[in-house]
Amino acid sequence: MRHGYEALVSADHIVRAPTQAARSVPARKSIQMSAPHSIMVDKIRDTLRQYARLNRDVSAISEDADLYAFGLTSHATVNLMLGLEDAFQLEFPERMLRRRTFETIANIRESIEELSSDPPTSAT
Amino acid sequence: MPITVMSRSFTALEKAQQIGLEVAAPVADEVDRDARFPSEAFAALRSARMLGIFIPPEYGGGGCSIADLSAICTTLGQYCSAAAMVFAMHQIQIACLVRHARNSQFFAAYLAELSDTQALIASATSEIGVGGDVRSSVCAVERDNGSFAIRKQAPVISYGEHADAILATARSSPDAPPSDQVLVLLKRDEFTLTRASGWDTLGFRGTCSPGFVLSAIAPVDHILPVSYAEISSQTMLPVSHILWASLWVGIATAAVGRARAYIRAEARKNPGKTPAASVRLAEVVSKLHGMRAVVNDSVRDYESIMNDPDALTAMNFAIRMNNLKLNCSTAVVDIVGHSMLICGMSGYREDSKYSLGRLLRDAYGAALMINNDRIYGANAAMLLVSKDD
Repeated sequence: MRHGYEALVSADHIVRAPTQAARSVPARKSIQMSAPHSIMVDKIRDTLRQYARLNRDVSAISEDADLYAFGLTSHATVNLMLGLEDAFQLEFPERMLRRRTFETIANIRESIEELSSDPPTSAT
Repeated sequence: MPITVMSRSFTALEKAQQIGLEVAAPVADEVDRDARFPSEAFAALRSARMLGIFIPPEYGGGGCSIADLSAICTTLGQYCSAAAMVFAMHQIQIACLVRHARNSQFFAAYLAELSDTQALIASATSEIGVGGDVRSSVCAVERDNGSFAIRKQAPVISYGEHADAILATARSSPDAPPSDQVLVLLKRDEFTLTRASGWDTLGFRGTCSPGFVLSAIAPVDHILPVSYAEISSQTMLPVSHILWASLWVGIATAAVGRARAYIRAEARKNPGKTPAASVRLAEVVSKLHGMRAVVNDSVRDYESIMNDPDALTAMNFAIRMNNLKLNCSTAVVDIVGHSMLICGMSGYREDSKYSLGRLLRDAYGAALMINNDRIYGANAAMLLVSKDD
């Protein structure tokens, strides 16, 4: 049996791709409906400060920087998720419980925007 | 399961069966008693080119699948737990290189070299000072021009003194946080091992896993090109759990085989009368089939998403792989224990052909290599947010 290993070898690139996409794509409609961008990012930074246990001042971390490189662990990710769910009054669905969702501030913001634009009944 | 990569008329599984039965089994008790490396089995596996069996054919390897590796580990595990465990750990290292290092010029050439030399690769992931968390490192890679230095206090390095190379984890630089790790290849002439402890254990004695201080200087292209976080979640963890569980199935199969032989001998002594313990045999065979099903299900699960890096980092996949380890490490103790009840004193004796002492001692190691309590703790944390059953 042959495997398409090439896909895996370039995993680093694949994992980072959504971040770059997020930067080049203009703001979605949902942003206007939810909190303004900067308020949302401030709130994400507050939650990171409380739960992510990073080795660097959260204000100095850019929106596209890899949080795992600043010491984010899978255990801290769980606390971060719980903190974000509380702060934004939402619930991350199973499909978002992946490494890349919490890899950067931009990815977190994108996920929250997506969830905030969902109808409220979709929480489960 | 067709594996057609082997020379001569043997398939890999038949060859593993033959090596297990004819080479590993006759010395398994001695390997255990003397806590010595199963060198006969590895000479045979080497000459059958089975150490490179997972390396893709374009690099000269056997190109087998994870399912094939799983079946081979189960087969070897029936004859010598130590040989099976060393084989499994070596293949886990190979899988990391095959799946994460091939786009590096150095590692592409190294894979071809491995196929050629059938070198044995050990692993140094655990470290003193991280409390058993393999996703944290104290030691760091210190780069200087084209080379790097590393010094690691490893509480265990299985078959370290018998390996041709070691894959070790370390922080990516002296400034990096504990979780920012890389995986580095250290060849025999690049590292020194200073023994820091012995290896006199209850079971898996032939894996020869004492503690060492590992010191090495190697060229920077020996650092794998992707982060250990990726390697760990996509390959090291799932493949470890699958191959370990596969060889535990081998241990359980061997125990049930002895119980079955014992019941059969009893039945022959008293034809017409069903031995009292035969119901227990039916019970333990059902447990064995359940354990085997868990492993096969996990192999299918992994193979279905193994080329989807994003899916491999999903929390529910991590929980399922952890459950494979938890289920099988407890099942193996249960099954060997049940086999002991069936064989009675004949299983308890050390000098009988139904003796189960070695298998029971080996079985107890399963819950400890990455302690089950740590894994339950990780799952408990993930279940605070995961909803998928």
